[in-house]
Amino acid sequence: MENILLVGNPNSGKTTLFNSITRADEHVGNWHGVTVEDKRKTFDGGNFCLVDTPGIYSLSAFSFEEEVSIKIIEEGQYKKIINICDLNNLQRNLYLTLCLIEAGADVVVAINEIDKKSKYKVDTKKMSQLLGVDICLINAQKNIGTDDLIKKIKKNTKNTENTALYYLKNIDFSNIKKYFLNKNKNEIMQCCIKAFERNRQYFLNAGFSDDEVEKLFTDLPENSLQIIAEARYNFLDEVIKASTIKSEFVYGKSKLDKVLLNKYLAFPCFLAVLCLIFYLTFFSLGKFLSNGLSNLLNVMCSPLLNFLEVHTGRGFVYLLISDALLGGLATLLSFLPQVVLLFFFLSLLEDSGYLSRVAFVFEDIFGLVGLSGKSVYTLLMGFGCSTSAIMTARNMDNKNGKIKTAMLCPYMSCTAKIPIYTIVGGAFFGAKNIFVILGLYFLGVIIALIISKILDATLLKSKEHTFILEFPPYRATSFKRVLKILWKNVKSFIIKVGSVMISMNIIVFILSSFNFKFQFVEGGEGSILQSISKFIAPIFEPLGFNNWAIVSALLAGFVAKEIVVSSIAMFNGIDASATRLISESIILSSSVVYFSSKSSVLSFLVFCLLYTPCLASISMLSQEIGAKWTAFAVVLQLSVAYVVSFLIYNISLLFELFGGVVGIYIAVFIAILLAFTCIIKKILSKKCAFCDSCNKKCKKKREKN
Amino acid sequence: MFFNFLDARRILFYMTTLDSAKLNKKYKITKFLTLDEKLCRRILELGLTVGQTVKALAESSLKKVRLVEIRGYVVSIKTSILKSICVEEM
Repeated sequence: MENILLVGNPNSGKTTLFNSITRADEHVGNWHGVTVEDKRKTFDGGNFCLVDTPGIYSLSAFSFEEEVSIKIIEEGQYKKIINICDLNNLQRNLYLTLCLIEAGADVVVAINEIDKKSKYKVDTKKMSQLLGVDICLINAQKNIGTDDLIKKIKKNTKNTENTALYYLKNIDFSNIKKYFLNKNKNEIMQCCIKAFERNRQYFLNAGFSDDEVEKLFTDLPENSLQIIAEARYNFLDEVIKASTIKSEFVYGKSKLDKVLLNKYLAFPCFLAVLCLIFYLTFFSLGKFLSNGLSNLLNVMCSPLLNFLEVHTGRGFVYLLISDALLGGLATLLSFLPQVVLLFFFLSLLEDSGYLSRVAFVFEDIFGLVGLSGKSVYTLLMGFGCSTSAIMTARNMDNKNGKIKTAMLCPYMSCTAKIPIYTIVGGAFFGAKNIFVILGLYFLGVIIALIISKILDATLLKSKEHTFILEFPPYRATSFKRVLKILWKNVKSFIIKVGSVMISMNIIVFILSSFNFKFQFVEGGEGSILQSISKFIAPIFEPLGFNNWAIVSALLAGFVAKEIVVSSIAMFNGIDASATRLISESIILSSSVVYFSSKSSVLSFLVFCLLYTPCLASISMLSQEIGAKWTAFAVVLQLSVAYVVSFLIYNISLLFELFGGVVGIYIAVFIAILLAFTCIIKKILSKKCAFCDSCNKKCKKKREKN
Repeated sequence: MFFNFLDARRILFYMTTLDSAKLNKKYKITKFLTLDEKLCRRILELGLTVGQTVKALAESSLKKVRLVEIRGYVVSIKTSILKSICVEEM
């Protein structure tokens, strides 16, 4: 089986073409850096393996995901490279084509006509002649032209070697050719190009020593990078002029940006979009669909449980099925509409092209806390699923930025926490729960920004990061894609509930039903889980909840957050045969036992928001940032969750006891603290007129006096 | 080490850089000042070469990022990078 690499600029449609050729269902989006790792799938009856790679602009890596692509290309384990180019931004896309041709790769250029009414017309024959490679016009989304592309891939004839390299003839390589005398003509050319690109790694890999590379680079013209880039672009100017007809059109420019990027309107617009998404997800549309599904599940479960009760009585089997399986899982399934809706809206945001604008707007604020505007994408995806969002931190261009962004991801409230907020919060706060949920989402963001600032000032100092981000055009999502997103999320949620949740629920049920002598105990009294949880419970007393069932639920929540609610429901002894199956009243009825006050509920919700989201996210963190930083991140999450919950509980308790007066005291306290911090900062930053290193007691000052 | 060793301050004295260029006006890139090698390579790859026409379209609220139109597409770039790109009004 031979490998075919799929290479191209970011957001040129590589994954769309990959899906189209291999019938795969990989994640796509209208954003630079959706693909952060290579993906492989066979096609043409298993004769070829198509390798999708993260987007690159040239063969020199700038960020972590670009390193993945370049490494695969340099390994050379492929038959051909499909270089996909966006028709609407052809010149910049063809720059990479030239780099690939220079590297001696066998390239087939696939010009992707993404938009229906393209502003360009291209003469592929003429362009193919000028570049010396096969070219075909395709529409990856509509699967047009892919057959022709596959035919060209199967062709065994290699492109004429270095056909198009005549544009480099005006560059004087004579000064450096002496370093590559033992190589053949083509290799000398490649080495000269790499030298002009100042690609240090290439020469180190080729066996050059540091000193030799340094010596080679001193023989280069000072502006070698500029010389080679200009030669390529000048040639591309000629190619584009000779083979395309274009109208005056700027890719990614839109009148909508006048509002969405306006200094005063940008933030309110983004906040309005977020609030609308949360409102539709949790309250209007989401709640309506959730209630509907909940009623449907009730109708479906009741006859089964009645049948079981009649035939088996209320024994172990009945309890296992009603509590561990139907009770907990039905509770989770009823949240399917809300979870899917949130994922759906995030996907729409991703497809729209708005996220690049958000990154642009947030670069200012994020820069203040040591993050890049590009972190917005990772953090927003964290609202969907922390595990997959952590992976997107590879977009960052420096290591500390990547670690910080990945570590902050779990503070974003993921969809797994929706059932906790809705059931527990809804039972205690009723209609006001919308404010509690919105508050929790924003609290997560604020805590993440504060932690980022602290990390930036201490352990993960980032040198000034670079922000370069191309703007994609705004695009509407097609109906077919809407259905695809919905189906994909429904499927993954049901699979997760059906696999991890079922097994975890059974484990929790068994641990809560048997004691250490493995004797069945009813109501959980004296069970293994109760004994362990009772031992740990006093730790949570300062947070306002020390009930063993709640602590058990939190422990189970380490595996996945969805289990928190199903565990609470299980311990509460849900009467699944009744209509109360997924009712908020279940929690409310026992609220006296579980939570002593609304303050303790708030504290519990905040703890759930901030502590480790799930085992999968820990594993992903470890993969992305290493075991040391992962251990630190987990300890940090637990500590932050504990401290913030403690503060929230006590402040809220003061409010409960003394009313609004406490608010005034807190405001005054914060104002004094801020003023004090400002004064200290001012004193410390006051520069001495005589030296740079001191303050008031300056020796030089005293000497002068 | 890269492009040239000219004193940035001396050049800035009589040259406009892209970070301070007027919005929605066309400029031509004339020179690059000292830039980190990796960064310089990326800027050139994106098509910001000497003699090329550029236009600043917008800037963020704290003026840390600018939106630049180049070679028929738009890209947002940090102003600290744009400080190293000298331009002249067309």
